[in-house]
Amino acid sequence: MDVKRMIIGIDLNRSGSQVCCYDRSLGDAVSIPVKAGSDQLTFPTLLCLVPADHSWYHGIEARYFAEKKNGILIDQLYDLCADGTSAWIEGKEYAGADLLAVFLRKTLEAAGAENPASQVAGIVITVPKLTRFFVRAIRQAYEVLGIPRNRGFLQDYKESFFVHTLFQSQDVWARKTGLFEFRNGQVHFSCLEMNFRTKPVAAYVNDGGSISLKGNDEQKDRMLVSFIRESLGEDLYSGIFLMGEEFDQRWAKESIRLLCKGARKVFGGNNLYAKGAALSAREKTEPGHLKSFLYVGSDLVRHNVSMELMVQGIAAVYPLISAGVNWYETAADFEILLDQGEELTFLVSRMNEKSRKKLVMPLPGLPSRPAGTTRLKVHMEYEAAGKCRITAEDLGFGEMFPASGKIWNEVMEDQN
Amino acid sequence: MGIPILCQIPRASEPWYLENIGLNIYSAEELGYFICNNLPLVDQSIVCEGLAQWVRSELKMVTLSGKLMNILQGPYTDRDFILTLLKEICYMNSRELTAFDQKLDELEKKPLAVRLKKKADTLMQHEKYTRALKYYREALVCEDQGNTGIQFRGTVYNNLGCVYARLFQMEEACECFLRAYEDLHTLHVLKSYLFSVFLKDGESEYRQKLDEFGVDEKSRVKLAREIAAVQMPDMPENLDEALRDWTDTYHRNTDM
Repeated sequence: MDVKRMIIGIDLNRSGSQVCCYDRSLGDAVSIPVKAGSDQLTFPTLLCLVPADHSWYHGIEARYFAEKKNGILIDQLYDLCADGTSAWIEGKEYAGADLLAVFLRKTLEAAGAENPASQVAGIVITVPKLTRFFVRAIRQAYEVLGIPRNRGFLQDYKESFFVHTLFQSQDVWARKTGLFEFRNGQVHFSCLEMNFRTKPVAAYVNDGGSISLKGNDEQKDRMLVSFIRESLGEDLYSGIFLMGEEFDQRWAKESIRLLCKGARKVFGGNNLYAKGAALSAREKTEPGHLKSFLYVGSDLVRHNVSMELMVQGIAAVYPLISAGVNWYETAADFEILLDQGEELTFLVSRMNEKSRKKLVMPLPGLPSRPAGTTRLKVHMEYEAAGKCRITAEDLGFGEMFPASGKIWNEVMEDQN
Repeated sequence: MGIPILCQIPRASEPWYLENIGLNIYSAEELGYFICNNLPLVDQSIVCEGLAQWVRSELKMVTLSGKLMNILQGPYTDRDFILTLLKEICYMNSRELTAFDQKLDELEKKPLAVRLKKKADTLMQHEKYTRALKYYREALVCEDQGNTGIQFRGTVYNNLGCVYARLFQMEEACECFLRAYEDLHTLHVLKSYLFSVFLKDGESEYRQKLDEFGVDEKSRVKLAREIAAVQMPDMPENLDEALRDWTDTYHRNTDM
């Protein structure tokens, strides 16, 4: 029997993807090169179907088979997942999730996990930004591969940056940590800062500005110096990361000199997000390193939602959704028996606040039945950080009061 | 407004069949509701090993199943079984459970004939007429009858008459209403008898009975008005479907 051991992080990007594996002996995440012996880490996010034998290829092979072997190239995989759309290939419709499942299977096979269901202890896919469709596609792809919810996770780039940084030595993140990402002729700045006065320590990743780097090497260096000065300002930074293949120390001499001032730790590389994802997978499967930290991202649910219910004969405020979790990682499913009335009342409170507001969800057209004989199935799921969709379905009460089949929907949005 | 109850016990995939009223039960809450609202129907069809096993296999309540089986091993009362069941499934709060216990206690103290009648009354409410007939008859022949009095006997006969009328057995309905009138002497029962005669033998026989029983003019007018107010039902659009529905209903009512 295969051992469930591999802990994997995948950086999935429109232009290229990367895979990292957590190495327990090293205590760190290690990038898996595209080819053994090479230092190329990024492979194109491409799929190819060869109709002749219905075989699939991914990455570099996909391009080869499309060019040389009459394969059908699928280069919109990322957008199909992000937008929730589908593609017609050889007369058959493929949803983004279907194609992503193929891509993931091929990627994991190449990384040594031929049987993900039994070989992958934990996996995190990281993308620039999560949408509801993306969440759904990734989850469905995991399901196809047999990876259950407690082993398959997802997060955005900002969270990967946070996790990656926190796994470095403390002198890197004792103060603010900056990230300059070089991609497509642009450089983008973001900053990780922590509030050590709170418990757990709250961590935030804030977006800075972006600039386009143009001209010769000297001009690019000058522009970068100016951008660095503007981004860092007078704030104290203990660590700086420079990411992206477009950055090169050979032309950025003055920029490097500026960044290293004040004993700042400066790191270069191209695999920060993939490593962050792998380290996150490790934290989720073997937690401990980040226990005293809370990443407060824009995907965080900031409200607690509960309901007053009779639980085992005693009236209680029953928690349904807890704040402090990413919106795509929380949902609630439960069944209740209505005593009276044609509405559901939820109690909503902001994170770290005691006061609660009532949210009433009317159920017009609910069949009239004796008290305690209307069973409702309630599902709560977030569509974005501040937007929760509540669905209630009338299940009736067995054969005594058959279900009407009525369904009600309500959207609960943050009132900031 | 009452607080909703959180359902923590999963619904059953295989139901428990309530023999008395021919109903499938799919959840602990339905079982609780049935027991609370049909106390006279709680008998060996519920207080049994089969239900204890169903609680284990379908509701996954292993501890409760064990408790129920233990109760059934030793000397027990239906009350022991039912209260243990209701307490664990938490369909009622403590105040409601106390009130229910009191109701259970009151019922247990009633004479057997009264309990049989209540059972029959409840079966009537569920339109289980053939079963109701059985228990009304048992109530009548019961040994305790001597302690229950003429009023009780008359009421049972009246209810029997209602059952027969629902089954369109008007001969038996007339006999029962007549027996009921002999005990109760109320206009209400007499009316039932006279209407049964009207349906069985027609208007002329009905008029003879009005004379025989010395019904006064004022009452005759009132009865005539009630008969006139009964409207002829509309012919259903789909006669075949209507006949099928009526047949199904009749079979359900008579356990055929």
